[in-house]
Amino acid sequence: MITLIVIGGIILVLVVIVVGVYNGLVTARNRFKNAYSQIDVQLKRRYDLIPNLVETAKGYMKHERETLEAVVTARNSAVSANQQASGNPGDPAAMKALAGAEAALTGTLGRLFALAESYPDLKANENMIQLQEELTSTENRVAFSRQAFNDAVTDFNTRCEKFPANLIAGSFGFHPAELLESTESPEERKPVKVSF
Amino acid sequence: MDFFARQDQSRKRSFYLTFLFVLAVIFVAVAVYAAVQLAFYLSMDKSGIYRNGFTWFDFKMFLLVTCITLGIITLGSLFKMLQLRKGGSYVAENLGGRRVMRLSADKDEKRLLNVVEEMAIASGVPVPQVYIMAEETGINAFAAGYTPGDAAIAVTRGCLSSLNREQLQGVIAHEFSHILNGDMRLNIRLIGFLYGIMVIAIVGRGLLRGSGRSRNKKGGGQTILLALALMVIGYVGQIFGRIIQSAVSRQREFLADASAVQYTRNPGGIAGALKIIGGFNNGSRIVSPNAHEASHLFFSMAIRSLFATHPPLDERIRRLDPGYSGHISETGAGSKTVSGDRFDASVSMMSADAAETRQTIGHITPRHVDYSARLLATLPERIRDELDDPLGATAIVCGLLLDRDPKERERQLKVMNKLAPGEVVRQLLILEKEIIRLKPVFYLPVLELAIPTLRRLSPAQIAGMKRYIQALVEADGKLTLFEFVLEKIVSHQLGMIYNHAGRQKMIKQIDPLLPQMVKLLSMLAKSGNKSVEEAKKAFTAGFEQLRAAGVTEKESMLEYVSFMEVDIALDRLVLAAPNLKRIIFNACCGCVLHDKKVSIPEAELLRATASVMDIPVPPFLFHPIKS
Repeated sequence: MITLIVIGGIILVLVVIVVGVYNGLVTARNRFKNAYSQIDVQLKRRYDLIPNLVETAKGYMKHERETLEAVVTARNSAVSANQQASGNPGDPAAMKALAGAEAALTGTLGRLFALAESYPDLKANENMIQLQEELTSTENRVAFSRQAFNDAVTDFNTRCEKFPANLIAGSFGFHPAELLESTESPEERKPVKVSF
Repeated sequence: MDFFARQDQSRKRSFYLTFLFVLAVIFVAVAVYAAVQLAFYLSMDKSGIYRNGFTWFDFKMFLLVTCITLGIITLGSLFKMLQLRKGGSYVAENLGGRRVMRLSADKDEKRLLNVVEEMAIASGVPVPQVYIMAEETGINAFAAGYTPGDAAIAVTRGCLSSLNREQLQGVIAHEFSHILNGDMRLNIRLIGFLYGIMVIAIVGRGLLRGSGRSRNKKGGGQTILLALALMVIGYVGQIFGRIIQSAVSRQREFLADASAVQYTRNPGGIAGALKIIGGFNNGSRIVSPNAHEASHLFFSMAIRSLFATHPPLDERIRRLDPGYSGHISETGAGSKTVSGDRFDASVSMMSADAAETRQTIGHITPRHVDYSARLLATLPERIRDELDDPLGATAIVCGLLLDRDPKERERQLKVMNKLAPGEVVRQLLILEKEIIRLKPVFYLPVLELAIPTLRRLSPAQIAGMKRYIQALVEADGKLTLFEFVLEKIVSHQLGMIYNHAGRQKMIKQIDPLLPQMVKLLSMLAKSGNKSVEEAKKAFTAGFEQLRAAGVTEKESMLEYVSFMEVDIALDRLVLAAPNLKRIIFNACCGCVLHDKKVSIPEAELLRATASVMDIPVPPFLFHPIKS
């Protein structure tokens, strides 16, 4: 009788521990998924701005069709990569694809802006100035939200690896999530130069 | 009844609830005992345990079974309650809520955000996080959280699409009443208890599954029987739970309805919302599978159940209707009438009465809602949008600390550049001009609007932000009252979520807190009065309030205090019991309002004190509102 109770007690404690760990993992997973939605908002904003940008630039940059098309293509593939990623944030393949697509987009945009330097009329265009400003600030926001997302993912991964969660994480379908790598070049990450 | 009395009452109600729950648990324990005995009785012949004879009432056995049952239920309840203490956002997400963000919000969602923010600023509670249950087409809403600081308000899609602004305001006011009346904690207890009882059923189900696998072993039969019995008991226990739930919940709903009318001076709003629910196909149904245990949180019946968590719609409407006809013309839907009004920084003093201020604690008055709506509508659009973005909010909070003097500002920005991430500095530079142009009346509301957004940052980002905020404050070598207040509010409001460990014992006597009170009062007295004579008078006025409340010390002197000392004093005063908080706050009001005038610095320090002690104090109406 006594042994039965002791065994029952031990099982109960184990159940409570397992449920606790499980719930902890669920919370941590929800946290990074929510953090992703913040990135998602900004990325979508960025994708919405790009067609306007191309439209504005088209009128001035008649000889740069290739670059403009490259921007549009890069934008479209980034849109679909983001769709994949927002459906399943943290999924390694989706996150890598998104990071790649974003890097490509940033690259082509960079080229576009570099070319735009040689078109003074375009540079002076009100619309262009505003769009460029918006894009920069959106990228800023993406960078900041990405930090929050990566922190949340790291927290989740650490929890998965810790004892006793590591014993049950796999069997309940918790797999380590992937960070969203930065798409910025190293120069961009340097502190801002403040000039007055 | 004032705010503190209602808090006290809420505690008492929790006690009553616990009593009911204990009764239910005892009943469940007896039932479990009977089930166990039955299982043994049926297996007696085979195993022969009871060779010495079987009795239906075996005291030792009873004690044992009861202890185990109690243990299971208590563990289950505690477990759930601990989970729920993570805050309202946890509940909201559990019920399928999605956070509403201003940048991605459509017109309806923006309206919702506006209504919630106005109400929050008007009542002085931290702005709750706003969620939408996009899958739900019924008209419903709820507020959840452990403290007002981590509250979340969620509404269904149906609520947004079917209600007009006034009706929505009525619904939101109803939810604020739950926050202000201390119902949220009660609700968490209820959910916890219900879950605890349900664990019995879960254990039964587990046993059933376990015994299914090992069917060929001996004694499988009675295990199945026991499992079935446990399940039945669990579900019967649920019924008891629901009875308790409905008993506690229904009265709270009437009160919340009445408060909503009081807050908006507009019975038409909430009555209209209830009428629409009554005539609506989906009514207030919630389809989320988790709605069961949280059904008493909602604005209106979320699930069909034998035991109603809410009074019948008809009755609720009838109680609201009599006041309907006379007051329609007075409705203040707020933000329509705004743009012309300016909040003039030169009007930095306003007259106020200590008694009046005390009465408004924990209440929302239509005047304050109106004031907040105007204030928020005059806030530059750009700033308001940015406040809902984590990067924007971070930059703005830093921006509030920027000096008016360009040279000082330059030095501050250099410090920022060293410590803060590049994004923040860039954003700060973009917003710098707009922020510098803000009038001082906006500083506190802007800070309050930024707090819920800052909660979206990761713990590491918050820690980083606190570091560069401190550096910004220290950059110019002097500490202003506002800087002190900002640091205090930020560290209090953002520390709570990630720092559960620091729970300390409540202080129940006022005398040990006297030195701290003297420091706080001295700071308040000096912040509002230029001359020492006036400051002394203000201090005495505050101290009189303490003496009236039974402090034994005869006399005390105005001290010269540093912000650091006040900081430490406040951390200690936070631990005061609710009835002591009333005394403390009365003394503060007495000190600030001895000359019947409030200056912005006084108001800032008073609200920081209130924020740290979780007392919802409405804003001072700095500009008389023209009607």
